[in-house]
Amino acid sequence: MSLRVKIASAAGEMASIASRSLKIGNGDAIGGRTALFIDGDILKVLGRNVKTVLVSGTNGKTTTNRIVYEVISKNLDSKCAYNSNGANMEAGIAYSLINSKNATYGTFEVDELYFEKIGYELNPTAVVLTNLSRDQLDRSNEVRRIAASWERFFGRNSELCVVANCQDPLIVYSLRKSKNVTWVNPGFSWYLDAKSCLICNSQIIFSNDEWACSGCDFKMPNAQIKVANKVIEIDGIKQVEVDLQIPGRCNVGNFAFSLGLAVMLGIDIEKAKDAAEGVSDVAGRYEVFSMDEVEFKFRLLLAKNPAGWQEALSMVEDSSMPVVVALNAQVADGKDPSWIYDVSFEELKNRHVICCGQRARDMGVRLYYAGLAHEVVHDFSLALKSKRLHEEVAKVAEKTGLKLSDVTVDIIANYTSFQAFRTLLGKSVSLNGK
Amino acid sequence: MEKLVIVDVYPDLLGTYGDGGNAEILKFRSQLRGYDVEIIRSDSTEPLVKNGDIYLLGGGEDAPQRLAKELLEKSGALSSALESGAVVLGVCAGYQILGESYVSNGNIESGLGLIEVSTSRKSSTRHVGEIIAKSPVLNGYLLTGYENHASETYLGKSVKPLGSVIKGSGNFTKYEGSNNFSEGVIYKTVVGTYLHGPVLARNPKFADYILEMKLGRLESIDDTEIEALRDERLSIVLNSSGAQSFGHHIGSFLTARKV
Repeated sequence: MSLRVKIASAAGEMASIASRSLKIGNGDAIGGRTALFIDGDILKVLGRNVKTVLVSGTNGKTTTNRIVYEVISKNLDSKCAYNSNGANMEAGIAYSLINSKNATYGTFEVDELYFEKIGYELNPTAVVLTNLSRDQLDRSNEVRRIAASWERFFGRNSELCVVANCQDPLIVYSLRKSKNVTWVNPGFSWYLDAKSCLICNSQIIFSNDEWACSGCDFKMPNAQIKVANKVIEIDGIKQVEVDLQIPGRCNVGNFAFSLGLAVMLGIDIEKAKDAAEGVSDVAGRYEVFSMDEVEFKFRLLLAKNPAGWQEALSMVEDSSMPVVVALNAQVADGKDPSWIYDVSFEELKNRHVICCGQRARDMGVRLYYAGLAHEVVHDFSLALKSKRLHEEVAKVAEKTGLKLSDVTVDIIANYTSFQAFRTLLGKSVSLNGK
Repeated sequence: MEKLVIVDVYPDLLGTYGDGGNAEILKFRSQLRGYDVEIIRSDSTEPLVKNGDIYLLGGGEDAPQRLAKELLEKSGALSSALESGAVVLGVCAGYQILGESYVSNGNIESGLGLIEVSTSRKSSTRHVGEIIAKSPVLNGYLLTGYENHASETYLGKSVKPLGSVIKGSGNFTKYEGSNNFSEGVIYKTVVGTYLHGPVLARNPKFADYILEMKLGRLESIDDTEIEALRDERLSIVLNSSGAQSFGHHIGSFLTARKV
C-alpha cells in the first residue's frame, strides 16, 4: 500500500469518527469523500485486493446487498466488506473498503447512475442487477439513460459474471453483449418504463409473464432461476422453499438474485437459504418499533418510487387499520413528487391515512382525488401522535377484537422521510427479533 | 351531454412523469358537478378511441415519445377527434409532438402538425425545476408545476401562449416582445404545457378551464385543500430568489424547516 493511500485512509477514518462524534451523520460518506480528496484513485487501489460483487438497480439494492453479504460472510470463511448504511456512491464504497482491512470479499450496492464509473474503477468479480424503473427523474431525466450507460459498461466487460432480472427489458438490453449471465425471473410486476423496444423502437408486448418485441428478435431470455410464490425453481428441477423473515413478494425475488450469485460462487443452496432467512430487517426496513406512551406499535416500510410503492402497498395488511404515509422531496428523493399519481393509493380505501413530511400537502391532494379519508400533519412526530390516528386505531381494534398491544400501524415513507422516521423511532425500542 | 369520455393517450408510452393523474382529476371534478364520466386508458397496443371528448397526452422519454407520435400519425384518431371538437391537453413530450417538429435523441423529427408550434434544441441546458407562469387566458391565474425537459418551443402567429413565465423556463422562448419566456400554448381546443405536478392537481382553475371547453360554465366547488397546497408551493417558489439552482436550495431549506 502506498503512503498516499495510507494517508488518505487514515484521514478518511478520522473524518468519519469526527462526523459520528459530532452527530452529523453515520460518517461513511464523509470518510470516503475525505479519502478520495487525498487520493482520487483510492477505490481502484483498495479494490484491487478484494473480490467485489456490485448490486445495482432502482429498487431492492440495499436488501439484496444485505442478503448477499450474509450469504458470503457466513459461507466463504472470509472477511467481507459492505456498505451497510446504504452510502452507495464512490465515497460510501471507498469508506467501506477503508473500514474493512484484510477483507477478501466486498459486496456493495451501487447507485444506478454511478454504476458505470464505479464499475470501471472496481473491476468487479460479479454483478447483480435487480430492476430499472422511473425514480428521481429530476436527477436521471430518463430511465433509458441509465440503461444506456450500463450497456456501455457491459459491452466493454462482456465476460463478466452477472445475475440479472430477465423480466426487465431495460436490463436485458444493457446485457445484450454479455456472455456470462444467470437470468432470474423474480416475479416483479412493473414494466411501464420499457414498453418501446430499446433496439428498434417497436412495441414490446408483455403477456403471461413473458415479453417480446413486435418488430425484432429482442425478447425475454429463459430464466435459470424462477420465483413462483414462495418457491424458487433452479434450472426447472430443484425447488427451494423460502421462509424469509422480511415480508413481501419482492424480497423473495431479491433472495432469488442472491441465490443465483451463491450458485455462481459455489456456495451450497441450503446454506445460502439459512443465511438469508436470518435477516429480520435491513437498515430499518420492516423494522417494528414501540414508542413511549403509545400502546400500539409501528412498522417502517420504505417506498421511493411507483414500483416501490406498489410492492409496499401489497405488504400492508388487508384491514381497516390506519396507515401513515410520508413524502419528502429532497435531492435524494427526487424533487418532483408528481409520481405519486402513478401509485394506486385507492388500495388504502376504508381507512384513515395520515400524510406527513415536507410534501404532505401534495400527498393530501393525491388522496383527496382518490377519495380517501385523510389528514395532513407535516411534522413526523406530531403525525404519530395524531389524535385521530389514535381514535381510529382504538376503533378498529375494538371492532376486530384485537388488544391495542397487538396492533401494528404501518408507516410507508420515501427515502429521506424514512431516514427521519428511523432517527425518530430509533430513540424508542426496536422489537425485531425479540 | 350523456357521458364525458376522457381518453388517456398511450399511458404506457406517455405516462412516465405522473401526468396520468390529470385524467383522475378531470373525472373527479366533473363527477362532483353531477356529470357521468368515463376514463379510457388507451395503451399503445390497442387502437386509439375516436369518440373521446378530452384527450390527454403526458410526458415520456425520447424513444417512447417517437413511437407514440408514429402510432398517432398512423391511427389518425386524434386528428379526427379534434375535427369533431374534442379537447386535447398535451404535457411536455405530449405537448411537443402536437406541433410541427420536436427533438428525439438529438434529431429533429416532424410532429403531428396539429398546432403551429415547433420544438428544437439549440442549447444543451435541461430545464429541470419548479415553474410558475401567469396565465392571461385564466385572468392572471398563477400556474404552478414542475418542468423537466431539454428543448425549447417556438410559437407561431396563429397560436397564443398559455402563460408567461415568472420562475423557470417554460417554452424557453419569448412571445411578441414580452420580456419573459412564454409557457405552453393554446389554439382553439388544443392546449399544451410543460408543467408536471400533475398540472391539473396543482391548478384546479386550469382543470376547470379544460372541462368548461366541453361542459360550459361550471359551478365552483370547495378547493380548500388544493388551495393550501397551491399557497405552499407558490410561496416557497416565489420566495426563493435568483438563479434556479440557488432557488432550489432556499426552497428546500424553507420546507425543511416546516417539517
